[in-house]
Amino acid sequence: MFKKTLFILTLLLATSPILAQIGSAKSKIVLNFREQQSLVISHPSVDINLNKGAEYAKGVETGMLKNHLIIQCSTPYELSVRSINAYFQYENSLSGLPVSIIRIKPNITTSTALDFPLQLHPVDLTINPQLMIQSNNRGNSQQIDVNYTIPVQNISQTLNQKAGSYQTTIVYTLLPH
Amino acid sequence: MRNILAPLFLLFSFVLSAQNSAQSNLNVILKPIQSIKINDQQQHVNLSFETVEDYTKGKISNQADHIEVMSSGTYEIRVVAQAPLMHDADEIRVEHIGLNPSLGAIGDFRDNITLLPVSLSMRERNMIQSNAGDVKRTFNVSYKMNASDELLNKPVGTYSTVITYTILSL
Repeated sequence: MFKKTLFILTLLLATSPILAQIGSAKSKIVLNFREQQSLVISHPSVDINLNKGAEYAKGVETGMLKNHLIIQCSTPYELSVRSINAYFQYENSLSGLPVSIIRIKPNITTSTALDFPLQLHPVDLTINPQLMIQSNNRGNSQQIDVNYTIPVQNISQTLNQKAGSYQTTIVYTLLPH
Repeated sequence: MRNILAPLFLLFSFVLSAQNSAQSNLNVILKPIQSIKINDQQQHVNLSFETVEDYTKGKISNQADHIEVMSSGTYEIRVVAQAPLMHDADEIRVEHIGLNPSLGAIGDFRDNITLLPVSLSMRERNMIQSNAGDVKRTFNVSYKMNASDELLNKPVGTYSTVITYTILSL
């Protein structure tokens, strides 16, 4: 009887640490790699002034607008640009001045390290999206300078227009791949 | 059929939501501009009367690309003499000098430019009128001094005046 009792006690003592370890907890770690993208334009309004004779002889430009486009994109992407109208608006109606006189020249000065160089394309503004920037990189963080120009070969189209401000809205679209 | 459409719709909506757009307003500001200049090599125009023929037929000096203009819109060019042709106290009327403009080498041909031969005067005269602007255009000017009795019996010397060309927006 004593031996039987001793055996049961020994068994209980031996299994109790094991029983204490039976309870467990699970933690599920979810790594959610979501696509991140943002596009910011630093200059909400851009002016091109034609008020000097020399500008008619040489063309006119805004000069490089520093960090005009700020792009964040976790995947390769394309950036296109278009105008909302084919002609500039003048005093609340469409004028005869085409937006295609505008040439947009991108340039990059600030970026994260790139595996592949950015492809920057000067574009002539139209109502249809024009591919301006292509990146085959992941983890993009770029600040793009932009120069809006009226090349000298287009300047004659501004002749014989009424003086004043001709406006259009330019839409940049970031398309991640 | 419904089972096929559902995944297609999801894919389509994902592509739309993946785009990111931003806008900027672009303003082109045009101001009326005109400029005019006389060919640097032709700041002085000489009409020298040296032969009998000069005194009987007059004298011509052709100045190629004499005037260069730029205008953002329609324009007019006028000419005026500051004073009679003077040599000390002697003078000759400027009306003896005729100016005949023609299209120069710079600028495409246009038939909506009116070229008006004029006699020089101390009152402004319209010499060129354009119904369109020009980024750059030149005009030739032929200066002709007619033979006249007024040129006779004048003291020998150089008779001069200043001519001013003006461009105006129409």
